[in-house]
Amino acid sequence: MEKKGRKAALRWVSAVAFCLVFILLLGLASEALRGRGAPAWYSQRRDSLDVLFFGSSHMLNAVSPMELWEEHGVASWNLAENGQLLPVTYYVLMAALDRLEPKLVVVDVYKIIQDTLFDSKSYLHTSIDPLPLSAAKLRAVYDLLPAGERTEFLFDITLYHSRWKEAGHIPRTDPDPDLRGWSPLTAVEAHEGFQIPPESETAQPPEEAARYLEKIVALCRKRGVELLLIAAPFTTPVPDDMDRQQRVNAVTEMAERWDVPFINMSYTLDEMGFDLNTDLADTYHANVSGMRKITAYLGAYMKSHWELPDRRGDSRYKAWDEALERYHEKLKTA
Amino acid sequence: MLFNSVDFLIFFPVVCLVYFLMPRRAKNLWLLAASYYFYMAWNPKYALLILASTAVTYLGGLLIGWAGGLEDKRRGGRLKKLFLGLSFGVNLGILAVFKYLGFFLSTLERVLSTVGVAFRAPALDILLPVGISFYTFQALSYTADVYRGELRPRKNFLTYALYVSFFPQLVAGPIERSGHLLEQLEADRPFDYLAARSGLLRMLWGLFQKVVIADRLAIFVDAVYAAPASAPGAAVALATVFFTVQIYCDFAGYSNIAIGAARVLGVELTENFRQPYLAVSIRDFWRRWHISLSSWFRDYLYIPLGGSRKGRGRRMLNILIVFLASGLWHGAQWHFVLWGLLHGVYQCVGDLTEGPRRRLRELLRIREKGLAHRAAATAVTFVLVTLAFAVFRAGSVSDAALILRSILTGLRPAALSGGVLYTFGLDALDLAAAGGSVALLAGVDVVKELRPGQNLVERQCLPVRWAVYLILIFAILVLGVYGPGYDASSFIYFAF
Repeated sequence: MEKKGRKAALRWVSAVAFCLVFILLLGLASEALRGRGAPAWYSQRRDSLDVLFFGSSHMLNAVSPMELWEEHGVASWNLAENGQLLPVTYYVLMAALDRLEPKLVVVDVYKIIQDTLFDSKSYLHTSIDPLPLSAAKLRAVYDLLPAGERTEFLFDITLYHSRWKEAGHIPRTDPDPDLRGWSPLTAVEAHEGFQIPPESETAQPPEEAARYLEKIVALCRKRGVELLLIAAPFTTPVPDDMDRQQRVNAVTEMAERWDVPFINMSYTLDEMGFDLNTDLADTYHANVSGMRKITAYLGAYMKSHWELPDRRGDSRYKAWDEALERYHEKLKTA
Repeated sequence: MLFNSVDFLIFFPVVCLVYFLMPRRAKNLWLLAASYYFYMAWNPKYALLILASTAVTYLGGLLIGWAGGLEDKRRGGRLKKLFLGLSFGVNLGILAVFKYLGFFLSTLERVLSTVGVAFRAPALDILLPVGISFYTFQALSYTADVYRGELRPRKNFLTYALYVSFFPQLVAGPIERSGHLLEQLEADRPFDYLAARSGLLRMLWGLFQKVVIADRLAIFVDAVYAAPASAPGAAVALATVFFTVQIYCDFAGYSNIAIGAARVLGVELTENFRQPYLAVSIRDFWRRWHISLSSWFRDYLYIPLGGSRKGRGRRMLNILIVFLASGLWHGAQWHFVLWGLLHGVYQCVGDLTEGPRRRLRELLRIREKGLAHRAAATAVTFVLVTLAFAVFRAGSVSDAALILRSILTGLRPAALSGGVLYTFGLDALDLAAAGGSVALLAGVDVVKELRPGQNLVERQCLPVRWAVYLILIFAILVLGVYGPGYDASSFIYFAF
């Protein structure tokens, strides 16, 4: 009887072991076909990052954590992504706060203009797929996607498997960890004589976007994390698009209501020394020169408003100084 | 709900888990609820049809049993026949309305118009209920078995309802016999680790056949058959061979998943396919292909018609009737009927030439069981089956004629050179994947033929077994034709 019981137990152990091997291989196969692993911020020490940045491409191109490190010794990471709408920001933030304990979160609110849950499916895949399966990821998929479209996000091998024909040649698309999430744009596009509507001019933002911005505020509060809202400077040359800036302007009133600081950078151009003729790569995005000005301004603002530790010289941050050297090398060739 | 869907991937483990945790008395009720849920995921309203079929055959069984026990044997016999007729009439009536009414009316319209009578068939808005032909036949086998006294009528409606609707084989078979399945459903079925493991492997193999082979070949077949006139004869021929493999993998794959799923739940279903393309004659083919349907027709149509007991002429007529019925069972269109007829004719010609062929073999000293003869007979049978499947797959009788002409007159393989081969949806890598997986399939079938009843994988040591499982799982996940942009094609046999 005892022998029989042991045999049964052994069978269950082997069944569980098989499942574990399968899950491991599934992870490896998924990553190989996706061409991208878990984001580098995901594996940082829990208490190692003091500031995290979120938002769409505006933020992605505007803030370089390495500049903050060099200037202030602030350890930060930019988690912004192309097409990261506020609902997506909310869940990426949730995933990040489950892994990390930052003191401050900075969110670019430009996407307050858009009234959908996510931009395109491919943008959503770029945001969601590299995240390892977690409670936040599950919530994101169930909230953002209708039934029937969730599998390709929960198990993205169902999407990428058709790339088996490229096996061995699938290019890796992991962002360079030395840039700490920042993505550089080098082009220069002049926007001479561009008119920005007065800050007092506002337009009603879409309900869905406003709702998620409020959820972001609530989430930060719940987790005891400070929040700073910003809107990186941008131009809107087409008259029809004027309400983009006006919608962003509406955040001023919302932020006041929530008692959250908000820097609307289209109106702090002079203070930042930001020149619309030299600091934009295109209509909407800061180039390297623009990034330097925005990051410097933001760094000074953050340092004066929050007690952010200077981590330079800390032996646990030796890798940051090494990364800084590589960062400068890469900037030269960018 | 499709077997190759995420829904089923969630549904099945949940059903199994709850099933094995439940007290014995509640198990069948749980399976019945799960089966109706499985069916209603497709169309809730049509569950009423299964319920109607179940109720009618259940009552029919009780009434036939009651009539059989009457003291007045003559009256009892008459009543038994009446109840049998009613049960068959109602069930085949439902089948006729939902599957064949449109076909009958449009045929009537065509016939009447040739004799100058104007008749417009009304446009019918009837959706063919998934699996209706399968569960109707299964329910009718119960009525017939009770009528013949081979089975006592069942009083437990719940178990009987589960017999008709048991989800693993509900929508595409195997068509079970009442004696075989009912008794298993009435018995206790505790969890059996080895059976569950073997069932899961069977499901994996079925899924591999369906997703890796059938669905990949289907791309080529669909592309060619969508416009057969514009494809070179060699492409049409290749597509037809591909379809022969596709329909086997599609249907046998489905059966394997059904048999595997049932085995996990402690139920052994009938084998439905036994290496059909290793058959050495058409008659042999039908002993290996869709066995549960062929034996249904044999037991409930061919034998009642007199089978082979009434002379050669009558036997051939019976064969033709059975195959016509089989053709019609597969679909309410003339090309299905023609396909059935073709198989009937194949068998009759095979019977008629049996003597001369035997004499020829003796003259040439060819051993019937010898490898060369077997290989040649297998090849000829495969060609005949493939040509018949061209008729089956064609959209209409005229398309079928066009396709057969194209294959028989335009077979120039050179027409596929210069990249033409890759213009039908499958590139070189896809074709290589298809070729490799079909070679595996052929290997498995040959091994199964040589060592019937043995499962080589299950006898291996743990590392080898794990390797097989993992290779199969990842072959399905990676090489399978599924996912976004691809509409998980319905199993071909759902429509029958």
